[in-house]
Amino acid sequence: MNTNRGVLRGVVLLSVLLVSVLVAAAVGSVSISPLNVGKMLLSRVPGISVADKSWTEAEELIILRVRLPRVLLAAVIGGGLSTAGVLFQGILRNPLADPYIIGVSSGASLGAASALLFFIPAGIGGYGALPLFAFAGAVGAVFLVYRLGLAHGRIQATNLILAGVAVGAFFTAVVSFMMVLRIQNLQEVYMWLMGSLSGRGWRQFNTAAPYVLAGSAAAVLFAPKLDVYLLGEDTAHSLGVDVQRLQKQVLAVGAFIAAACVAVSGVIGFVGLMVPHAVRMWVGAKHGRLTVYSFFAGAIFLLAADTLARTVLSPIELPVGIVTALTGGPFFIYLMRRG
Amino acid sequence: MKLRHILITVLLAVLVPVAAAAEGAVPQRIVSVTPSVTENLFALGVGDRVVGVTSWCTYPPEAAERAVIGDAFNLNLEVLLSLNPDLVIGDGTMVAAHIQQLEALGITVATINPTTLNEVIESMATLGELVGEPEAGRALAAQMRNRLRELTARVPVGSSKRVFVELWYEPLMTAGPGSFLHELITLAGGENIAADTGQPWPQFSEELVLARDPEIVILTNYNREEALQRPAWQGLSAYKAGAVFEVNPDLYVRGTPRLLDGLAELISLIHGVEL
Repeated sequence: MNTNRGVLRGVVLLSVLLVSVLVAAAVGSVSISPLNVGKMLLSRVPGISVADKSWTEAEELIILRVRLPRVLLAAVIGGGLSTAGVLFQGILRNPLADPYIIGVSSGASLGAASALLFFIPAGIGGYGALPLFAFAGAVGAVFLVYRLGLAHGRIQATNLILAGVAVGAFFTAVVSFMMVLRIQNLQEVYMWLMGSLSGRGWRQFNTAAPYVLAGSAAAVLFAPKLDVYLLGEDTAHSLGVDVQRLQKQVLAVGAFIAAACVAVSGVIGFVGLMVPHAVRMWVGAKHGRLTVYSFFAGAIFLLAADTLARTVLSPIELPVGIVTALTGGPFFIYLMRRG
Repeated sequence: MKLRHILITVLLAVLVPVAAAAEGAVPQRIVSVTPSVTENLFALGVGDRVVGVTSWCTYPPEAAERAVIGDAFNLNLEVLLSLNPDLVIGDGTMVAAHIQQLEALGITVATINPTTLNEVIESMATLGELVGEPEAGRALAAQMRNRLRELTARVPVGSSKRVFVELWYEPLMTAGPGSFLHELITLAGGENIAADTGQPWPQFSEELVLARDPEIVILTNYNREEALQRPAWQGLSAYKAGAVFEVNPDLYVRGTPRLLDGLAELISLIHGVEL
């Protein structure tokens, strides 16, 4: 693939993302004319004043405080999960790797569930601290899996994956156990575990976006080394890559992005597994392109999925994880069969 | 005649603004995010001011004519905001994220979370004050208190029967302390065989049901036909006496005046009293 085509594809992805954001902001349970949505957004751009304010206060609240932050959050989470998926699939050299493979989701679930069932009811930390609990749980679990997965002080992909499965199963059981003990607060935990962007606003966006974006930028920097790493650890070593260091850094950044995503959205499955594979079939396995395109493709995919989630059964909302698996599964199988 | 006209005009001029001012402080566009709150708002006579409800708000039937703003798990904030509510009322089961988000959007949110029958009765007065109908609230509370007294007076003294409530069969779930159901069974002169679970909605051992041999089995899931087929349960006193009953769960789990209909039903089921 030559550079021109690469740039072209980049421009196409970026434009599709921008258009998706605008379209998603214009559709919802409450119908607001796209023209008014456009004007509303323009009126918030510094230096531009919109003369005829032809919309209601409620409409402005809906667009600027509810729909827009959620749309942007969906894009960031989708991009972040896909980027983390690329990192884990690369560094573990395992096609089944996803952002949650080394304990992020089960750790975050444990953090969130203990907060919702025990800490918050006891007055320790308010509801606003929930992402912190989830994040702490995720990081703690990753650290545990990492320690357990070390073989003679070296990172061993198989060990790491097995440790991830074991710790994940254990933490999931602990969460279930806590839910049985505190059945009266079950609903919030249940909602959290399903993963959803419902009710998320600017606060959640501001919490997660900086970390996800910074982590994704760092992921691009790993690309050249990951390409070499794919040739095998010995080859990479002989080509001057500090393999141990690369593994640690990539695992840390991947886990960090995934933890930031999970902390605000709960566990949204499938995106981080499928998008990197789909993009790989499209642009090849070179990590530079793969990482950047996966970010955009993941952003567009989750944005589209969440838009469906909040409109298909309106006024009832679907958990977005159902939509990602229902639409992404068949699409992925189609891509696979096509080869 | 003239003087009367003038008087009326003066009175109107004084009274109408007063009424309008009072009305200004009274919520006119109420959204209920909990089925029990919806029922209670209608019971207080302010159903016409309810503009939004959840898809689970099935009672009274008029409630179904209101805009649906989601279910108990998820609120659709867009639809909710588009209704321009001046008050959103829910109970403790309302997801905390939603409360916070609504308050951040500048909407007044009130929560009412009664956990006992007495608290339900008191909550009618609280709800009445919230919606600017304190008189109606107090009247409804008083009416409920009277009915409770009348009903409990009908419970035969010294007769207590072992009761098992089945909420769900697989897994077997029942109601324990902390649930309205447990409280109502006790008030109706029953002895809940799951009283020692210490939890409102515990999963329960089938062996314990057999060992504790309930004299009354109450099913809340419309599964009497299936329940009667269970081989292991045939020896229970309740089965031998034909005391296996289906009830409408809405009368037993929602904190509304209908809890007393549930109590009345329990008293007649447990003691065979005609009420």
